Amino acid sequence: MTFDLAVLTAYVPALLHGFVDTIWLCVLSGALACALGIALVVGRRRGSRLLVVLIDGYVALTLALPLLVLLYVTFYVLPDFGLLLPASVVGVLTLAIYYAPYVAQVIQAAIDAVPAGTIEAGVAIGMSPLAIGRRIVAPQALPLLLPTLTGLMIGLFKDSALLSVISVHELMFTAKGVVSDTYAPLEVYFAVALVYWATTATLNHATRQWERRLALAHGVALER
Amino acid sequence: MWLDPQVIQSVPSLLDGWMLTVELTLLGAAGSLACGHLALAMQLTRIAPLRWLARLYISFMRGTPSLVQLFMVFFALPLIGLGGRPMLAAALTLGLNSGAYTAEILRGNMRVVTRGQIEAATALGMAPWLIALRIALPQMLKASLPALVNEFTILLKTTPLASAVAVTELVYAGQMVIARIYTSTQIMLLVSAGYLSVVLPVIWLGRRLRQRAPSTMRGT
Amino acid sequence: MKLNAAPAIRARDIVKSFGAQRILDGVSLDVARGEAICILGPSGSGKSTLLRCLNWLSPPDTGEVWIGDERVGMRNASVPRPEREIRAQRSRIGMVFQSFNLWPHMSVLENVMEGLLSVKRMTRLDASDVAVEALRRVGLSGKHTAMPGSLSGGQQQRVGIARTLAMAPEVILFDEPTSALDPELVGEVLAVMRGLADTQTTMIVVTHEIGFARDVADRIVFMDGGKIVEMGLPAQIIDHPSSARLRQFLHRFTPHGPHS
Repeated sequence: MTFDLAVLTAYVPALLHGFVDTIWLCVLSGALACALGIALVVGRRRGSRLLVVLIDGYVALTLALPLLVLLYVTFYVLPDFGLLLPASVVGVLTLAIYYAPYVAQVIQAAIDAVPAGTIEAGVAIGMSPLAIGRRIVAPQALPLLLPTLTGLMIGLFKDSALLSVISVHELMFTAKGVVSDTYAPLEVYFAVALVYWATTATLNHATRQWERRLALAHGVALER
Repeated sequence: MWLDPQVIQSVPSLLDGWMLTVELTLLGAAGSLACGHLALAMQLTRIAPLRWLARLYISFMRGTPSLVQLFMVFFALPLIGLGGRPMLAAALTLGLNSGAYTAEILRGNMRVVTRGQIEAATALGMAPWLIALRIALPQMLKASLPALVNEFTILLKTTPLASAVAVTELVYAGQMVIARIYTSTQIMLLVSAGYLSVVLPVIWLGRRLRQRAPSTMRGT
Repeated sequence: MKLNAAPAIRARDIVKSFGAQRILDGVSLDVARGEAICILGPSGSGKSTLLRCLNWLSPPDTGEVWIGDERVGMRNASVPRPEREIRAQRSRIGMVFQSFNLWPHMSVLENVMEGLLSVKRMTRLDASDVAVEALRRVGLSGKHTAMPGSLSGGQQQRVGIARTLAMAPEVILFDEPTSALDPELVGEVLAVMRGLADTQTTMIVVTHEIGFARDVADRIVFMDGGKIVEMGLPAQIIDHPSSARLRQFLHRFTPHGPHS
C-alpha cells in the first residue's frame, strides 16, 4: 500500500480555496440560522395561534428529517416550482433552515433559565418589555447559550460537507475533484479529515476556555 | 397531479429502499453499541496507549464530517480485501461514528454506579469483569436509555449518507426513481414521509417516556 | 465455647498510611472463632481502615493478615497473591457497610443471591434457597421482590447483612453498620447483630453504640491514633477504663460517666 501525501502538494492551493469557501458558507448560513432561530423564538412567544402552529410544524419537520433529504428536497423540488437558484444559495439556505430550530431550542432554554425573579423586578420597576429583554434577559441568557450555540455551529461546519452532493463549491467538493485528478482518495480524504478535525478541535478548545471564563465570572463550579 | 400512476408504481422500490434504511440503522446501532463499549473500556484501563487511542478515536469521529469518514472507510476497505462492498462501508462508518457518541453517553452515566456498590461487590469476591457485567452495565444502560434512543434517531437520520456510495437506501432509491420518471416533488415527498413515519413516533414516544420517568426514580 | 484454638482471623503489625498521614501504626489483633469483637474509638483512629485491611479491600503497607491458616493477600512477605486467590479469600470474609451499598437495579432476593451465583457458582435453585434462609434470619422474609429503593434504611442494612450471611463467611466485618441510620431504625439492625453473636458468628464490629458493645461483645478494643490503646472484657473496659484517652472518649458518649 502506498500512502503518499506528497501527491497533494500541487493541490494545496485548490484545497485551501475550498476551505475558505466552506468557512464563508458556514458563516453565512450560521448567521442566517441564528437570525431565523431568534425569529422562531419571538414568533412562538408573541405570534398568533396560526403562527405558533406553523412554527411548531416547521420545527417538527426539520427536527425529524435528515439534512440530506432536506437538501435534496430543496434542490429537486424548487426547480419544479420555477425557482432556479444557484447551488450555493440552496446550500446556505437549507443549512440555515435545518439549524434554525436547534438554535431556537438553545435560545429558548437559555431564556427559560433566567431566574423569573430578575424579570419580575424589572416589571415592578416599570421597565418596558424591550428594555427587560435587552437589560435583564439577554445579559443573563447570553453566557448560558453561547457555549451550546458554538457547539451547534461546529455541527453546522461539519454538515457543510454534505453540500458537496449538490455540487456546492466547498472543501469536500474540491476534494472530490482532486481525487478524480490524482486517483489518491485515501490521501486526499485523510488530509481533508485533518483539516476538519483541526478546525473543530480548535473551536472546541476555544469554547471550553470561554465556558471556563464565563463560569469563573459567575462563580459556578465546572464539572469535568 | 396528485399521485401519478408512475409514482405509485415506484412505491415498491421506495419501500425496498426504506427496508435498507432500517437495516442500516440496526447494523449501525449494533456497531455503535459495540464500539461505544469498547471505547469506554479502553478509557478505563491502566494502559495509557489504549486510553489515548480511545480518546483519539472519539475526538476524530466527533470532529470530522461523517461523509469524509465514509469515503475514508470506503476507499480503505479494498486494501484489506473487502472492496466493492458499499453496504459494509456504510454500516461500518455509521457504527464507528455513532460509537464515539455512545461512548460519551455511557461515560456520562457511569456515576449512577456508586463506589460503595462496587466495594460491596469487591468485598464479596466478585471479579472486575463480573462487577462490570452484573452491577455497572445494567445500571449504566438503563440510565443511558433516553440519550441512546436520541443517538440512534440521529443515526437513522445519518443513513442517507450511504447514498453517496450508491447504497440503495431510501434517498438513493428515490434518486433512482426520479432519474427514471422525473416527478421529483412527489418522490421527494414520499421519501420525506418515509423518514417522518419513523422519526416522529420515536420523538413522541421519547417525550411520553420522559414524562413518566420521574416516578420510577427512587434513590437508594 | 471456643474449642478450636486457631484464631478465625488475625492481624499482625498492620501499618497503613495515606500519603503523609499514618492511619494505622502497628496494629495486631487475634479474633477467635465464635468471638464477637467491638472496636471503639474516635474518628480518624483507623478503625474502618483496619477492617478494610482485613479483607484486603485496602491492603496495608506492611503487616500480615491471616484467615485461618491462610495468609490474606500475600503468598509471603514479598510476593502478592494473584487476584483470583485474593477474591476467593474475600468471599470467606463478609463485610457490612455503613451506607449499605445495595445494588439498586436488583431486587432484595437478587441482591442476596448475587454473590452465590457470581462467586460461589451455585445454581439458581440452590442460591435461592440459601438466600431465602438468610433473609429469614434477618427478619425480611416478606420482602424478596422488593427493590432496595422502597425499603427503609434499617431494612436495607438488614438486606446487606443477609447478603453477607448467605456467603457463609468465616468472619463478618461490620463497618459502622448503624451510623447512617435514623435513631428509630438502629434497634432492628442491632437486634439482628445480637442474634448473630448469640449463634457464635465470628464478628468484628466497628461502632459507636457503646450500649450494644457492652452487652454483646466478648471483647472490646479501643483504638486511638492508629494504635490499639486498650483491650479487654466489656464490663472492665467500659466501667473501669484504665487509659485517660478511653475515659475521655467514653465521657463523650455517656455524659453521666462510665457507669451508664
